[in-house]
Amino acid sequence: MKQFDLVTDEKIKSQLNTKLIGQEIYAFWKIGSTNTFARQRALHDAPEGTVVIAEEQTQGRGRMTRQWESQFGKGLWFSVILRPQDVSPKAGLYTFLAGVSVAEAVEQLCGLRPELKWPNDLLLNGKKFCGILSEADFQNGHIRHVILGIGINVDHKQEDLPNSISESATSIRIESNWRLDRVKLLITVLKRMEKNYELIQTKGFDPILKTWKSYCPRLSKQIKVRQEHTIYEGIFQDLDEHGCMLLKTNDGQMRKIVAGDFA
Amino acid sequence: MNPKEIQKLIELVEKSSVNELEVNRWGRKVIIRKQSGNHAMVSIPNEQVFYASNPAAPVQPAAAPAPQPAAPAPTPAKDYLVEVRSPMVGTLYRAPAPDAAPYVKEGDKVNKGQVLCIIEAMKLMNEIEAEFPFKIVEILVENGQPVEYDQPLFKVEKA
Repeated sequence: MKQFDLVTDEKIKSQLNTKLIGQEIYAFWKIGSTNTFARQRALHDAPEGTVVIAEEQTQGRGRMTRQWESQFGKGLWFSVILRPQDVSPKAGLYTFLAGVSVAEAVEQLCGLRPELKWPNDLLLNGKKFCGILSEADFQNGHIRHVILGIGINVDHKQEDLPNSISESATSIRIESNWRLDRVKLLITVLKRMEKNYELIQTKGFDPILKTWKSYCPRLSKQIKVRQEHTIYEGIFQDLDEHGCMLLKTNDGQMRKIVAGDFA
Repeated sequence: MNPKEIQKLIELVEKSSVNELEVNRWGRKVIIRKQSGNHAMVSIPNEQVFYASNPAAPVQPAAAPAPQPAAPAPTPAKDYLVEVRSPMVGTLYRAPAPDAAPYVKEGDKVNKGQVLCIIEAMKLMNEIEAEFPFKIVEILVENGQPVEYDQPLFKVEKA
C-alpha cells in the first residue's frame, strides 16, 4: 500500500483551474510555519492568492503560541495570502471565508457535514479536525494583506494523534474511515475559497456569514464561552457585522464576544 | 481658523444632536466628531478631526477616518503626546503568550516596526507595530481587554 502520496506543486498546478488562488505555490517538505513564511512573502509583495504548503511544520502554531501538531504527510498545512481592498476592521471577517470553504469542500468530497465552531474551528462528530489561524497587516487603516492559515487533519489514524489531544481531536480518516486524497481536498478547498472570495467582492459578507451559520448547530442554543478568566453562559443569538458572537446571557443582557474559547 | 473658533464649534457639536460637523475655510478642513470616552484629536494633512465627547449614537466604524497614529495630536495640555489607536474590534494581548513578558511597558523607548501588542479577532492576529520611534508614556488598555475600532491604546511621545 502506498504510504505517502506527496503534495507537490506540480500535482496541485496540474489540477487547479483557478484564476487567482494558487497561481503561485510554495510547496515544502518541512518548514517552521507556513503562516510565518507566507507573511514574509506577503511583506515582500507576493501576489494575491499565493499558497504556501508544507508536508510537515516544525513550529505549527495555534492561538497564543499554542502548538499545532502538523506531522509529515498526515494533513494539509497551508496558508493563503489575500489582499482584499478593504478597511482594517473587516479583516476578521475574512477568516470565515476559510472556515466555510473547508466545510463545503469536506462535505462535497466525503459526504460528512462538518460543524463550524465559533469563530472557525471545524469539527466532525464533536471533535476538531481543522483549525484556522490568521494574521493581518494594515496600512493607513486598510488591509495590506490577510494570511489565512489552515490546518486539516486528513490521514491520521487514532494512534497517530498525540495522547494530549486524542480526546478532543480527530481526522477525516478516523471519522469517515476513508483515505481522502490530500491534493484533491486542497484543490477543492482552494476552488471554494476563490468562489467565496468573489462572492464577498460582489455581495459583501452576508452570504458567507449565512452559510457559516448553516454549519453551526450551536446557533440559537445555550452555550458557555470563556473569555480570559470569565465564563459567560447564554444563548448564541447571532453574529454581528464584525463576526463577533452575540450572546444573550441568562440575565437577559446581550454580550458581544470578540475572542474566546467554548468552555 | 483660530482655536477659539474651534472651541466654539466643539461646544456647539457637544450640545447638539449632530454627530459630525465639517467646516471648510481657506482650504483647511475641520471635522468635529462625537466619540465615547476621552477627548482626542487626530490631524491629517489639510484636514483636522476633533473628537467631542458624549456621542448621540455609536460611531460607525466604516465612517470613521483611517487611523493616523503618526500624526501629531495638538491637545492643549500635552501637545507632544500621540495616541496609537486600534485598527479593529478585538481583544488586546500585551504579550505573545499568557506566561510571557509583555512586549512593552510604560517608559520603554521603541523603534519603528517594534511590536507593541497583539489584537485578536476571529482568531486573526494583528501585531500592532510602532510606525515611528517613540517613548511609551501611558498604556491605556490592560491585557485581555476587548477594544473597539479606533480606541486609543497607547499614549506615546515621539522620539
